[in-house]
Amino acid sequence: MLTIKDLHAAVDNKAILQGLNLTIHPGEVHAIMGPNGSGKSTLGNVLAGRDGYDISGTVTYQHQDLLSLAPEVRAQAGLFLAFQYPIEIPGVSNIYLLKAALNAKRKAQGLPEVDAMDFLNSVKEKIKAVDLDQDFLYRSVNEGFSGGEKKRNELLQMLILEPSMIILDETDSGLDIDALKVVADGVNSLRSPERSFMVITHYQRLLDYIVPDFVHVLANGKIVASGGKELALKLEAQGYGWLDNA
Amino acid sequence: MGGWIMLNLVTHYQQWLAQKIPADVLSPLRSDAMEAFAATGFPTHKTENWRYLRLTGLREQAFEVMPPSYLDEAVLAPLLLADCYHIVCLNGFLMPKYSQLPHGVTLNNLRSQLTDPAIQALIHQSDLSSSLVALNTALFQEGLVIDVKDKLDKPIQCLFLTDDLGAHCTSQQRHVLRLNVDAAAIIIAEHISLTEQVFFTNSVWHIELAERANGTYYQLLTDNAKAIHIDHCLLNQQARSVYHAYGFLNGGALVRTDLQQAFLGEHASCTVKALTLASGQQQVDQHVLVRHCVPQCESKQCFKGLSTNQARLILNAKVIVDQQAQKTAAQQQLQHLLLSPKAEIYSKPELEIYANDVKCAHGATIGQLSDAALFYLKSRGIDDARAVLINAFMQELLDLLKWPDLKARISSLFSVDA
Repeated sequence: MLTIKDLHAAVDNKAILQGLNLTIHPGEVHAIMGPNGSGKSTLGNVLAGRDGYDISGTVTYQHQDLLSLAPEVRAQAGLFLAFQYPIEIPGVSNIYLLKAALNAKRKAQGLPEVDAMDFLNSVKEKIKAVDLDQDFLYRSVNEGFSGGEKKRNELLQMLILEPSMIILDETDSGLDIDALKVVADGVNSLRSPERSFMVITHYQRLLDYIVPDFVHVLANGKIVASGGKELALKLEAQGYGWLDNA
Repeated sequence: MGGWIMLNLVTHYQQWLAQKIPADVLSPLRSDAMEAFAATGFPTHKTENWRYLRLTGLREQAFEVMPPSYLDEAVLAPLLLADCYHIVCLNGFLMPKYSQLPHGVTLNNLRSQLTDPAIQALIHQSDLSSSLVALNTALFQEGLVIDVKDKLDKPIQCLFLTDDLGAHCTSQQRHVLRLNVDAAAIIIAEHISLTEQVFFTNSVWHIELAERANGTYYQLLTDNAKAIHIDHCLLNQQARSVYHAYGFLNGGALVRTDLQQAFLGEHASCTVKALTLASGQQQVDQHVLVRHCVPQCESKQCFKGLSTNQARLILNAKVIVDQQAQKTAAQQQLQHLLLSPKAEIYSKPELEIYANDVKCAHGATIGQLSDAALFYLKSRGIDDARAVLINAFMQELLDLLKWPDLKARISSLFSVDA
C-alpha cells in the first residue's frame, strides 16, 4: 500500500524528518507515537502533499511515486489525511465539499458523477453514524464547530470518500471519551483487508479503541523502535525517556 | 505640458456649453457649474477624495457629445430580463419604443420637466465642489424622470447601452427616481457596452424616497475594458422609508461611484451592499457616505472587494451620525481579497459619531486566500480549490441576484481565473 524509504523533510533548513523508513501493507493499522516535536504531524502533512517542506527520499503509494503527485491527485487516488485541527472554510457548505470531493474521486476513477438523490440518502445515513445533526450538512465547513464536531466531520468525510489509505493525525486530541468512542467506532467500521491506517498519536489512549497491528516510535525524525500493540503500553507506563538510552 | 492640455480640455467643455447647450431655466446654474469645473479641472491625486484614482484617461482626451443611435432588436432581446418592466437607453438617449412600464409608474424625459420647480430644486442640490458633478450640471441634456406611485409587482430593468457611435464620446446623464408615499419598486440599472472602444459616461442620479417608500436599486456596472464610468447618486430618505442599494461592479477601465445618502425622517433604514472585482489594469473607486441627520434610523453596509492582476480597488465608506441622531444603529463591514502580488486595495471605513446614544460598529479586512484552507480543500481532492474559495467569498452577495438569468450573467462576469 505505502512504502516510505529514507524520507527527509526540512523547513527553513531545519531538519524534521531524518531518514524515515516504513512499509504499510493493505489491511494493516500502524500507530506512530512519539514525543512532541518528533515529526509526527510533519509526516502526515508530507504524505498528504502540503507544500513548504524540502523533501528527499521516496514514497510509493499503490505503485505510484506519491511525492510527485499534487495533493488533490493524492486524495483522488484514495489517500486521506484527517487533520489534527480541521480548517474552517466560511462560505463553502459541508454538503458541497462532500459532493465535490466524492465527484473528484469518481472522475479520477473514470466514473460518472454521483446521482444527487443517492448521494443525499447516503450522506443522511452516514451523518447519523457520526452522531451529528443533519443541519451540519448545510453549515459552512467546520465553521463554528466544536473540537469534537470537527473530528466527527472528518470522520463523515472518510465514511463518504472511502479512502484506501487513511492517516489520522492526533485524532484523539480535544475529544472527550464519548466523542472518542464515536470516532473510534467509525474508524473501526472502515477497517477492511483492502484499507490501511496510519494512526498518529501522542497518547496510548486512542489505541485502546483503535487497536493497531504495529506500533512505531518516532523520535528525532526517525523510527527508533517498532513492535506490536504492547509497545504502546510500555510507552504509556515509562514515557519516552527510556528511548534516549536505548 | 499637463497644464496646457488641461487648459485645452477646459476650453473644449466650455465651448460645448456655449455652442451646444440651448439656453434654458438652468443656464445661470450651468455657467456657475462650468466655472467651478474650469477652476479645478478633473481631480488629481492632490484632491483628497480622489487621491488614489488616476484620471489620466479623462485628461488626455477631449470627448465629443455622444450621438443618438439605432438599436438592433436582435442585440437587445437577449439582454432584456423576463418578468420585468423595461426602460432602455442607448448612448444616453431614452428609447421609448423599447420601454414598457405599468400604470403605477410615470416616465418622462428630463428635458421636458426642467420647468418643474421640484425638479429644479433637486438639480440645485448638485454638489459643484465635485468637478465631475459640476461638469455634468453644466452639460447634461438627457435623462430619465421615473416617478413610482404604487407598489410594483415586478422589477424595472433600466438598460443603459453604449454602441460604436458612442466611441470616443461622452454622455452626461442626469436621472431622477422618485418613490411616492408607500410606493415600492425594484430598479435593476444595468450598464452594458455594445462597443469595444473607449467612452465616458458621467451620470448623476437624484433618488427621493417619500414616507414609507421601499426602494431597491441594483447597480450593475459591466462596461467594456476601456470604458470610463463616473456615477454620482444623491439619495434622500423620508421617515420609515426603506432603501437597499446593491452594487455589482466589474467592467470598465476607470470606474468611480459615489453614493451620498441622507436620512431626513425617523425610523428609516438604508442597506448598501456591493461586490466589486477589479482585474487587469482596472481602477475601481467606490465612495459611500451615509448621513444620520435624525434619530432612530438604521444603516448597514457590507462590501466585498477583490483585486487581481495589476488592478487597483478603492473603497471609502463613511457614516456620519449627527448630534441629534440618537438611537442610531449603524454597521459597516468591509472585506477585501488581494489575489495577486501587484494588485492594490485602498480601503477606508469611517465612522463620525456626534451623538451619545447610538449602536455603531465597523470592521475592515484585507487578506489573501488562506493557504491552510487551500490545502484542506486540495487534500479532499478538490481540483479548483482557489476558485472554490473565491466563489465562497462572493456567494453571499451574488445570492442577492434573485433572477436566474441575471444571476448567471453576472456570476459569469465575476469568475476569477484560478
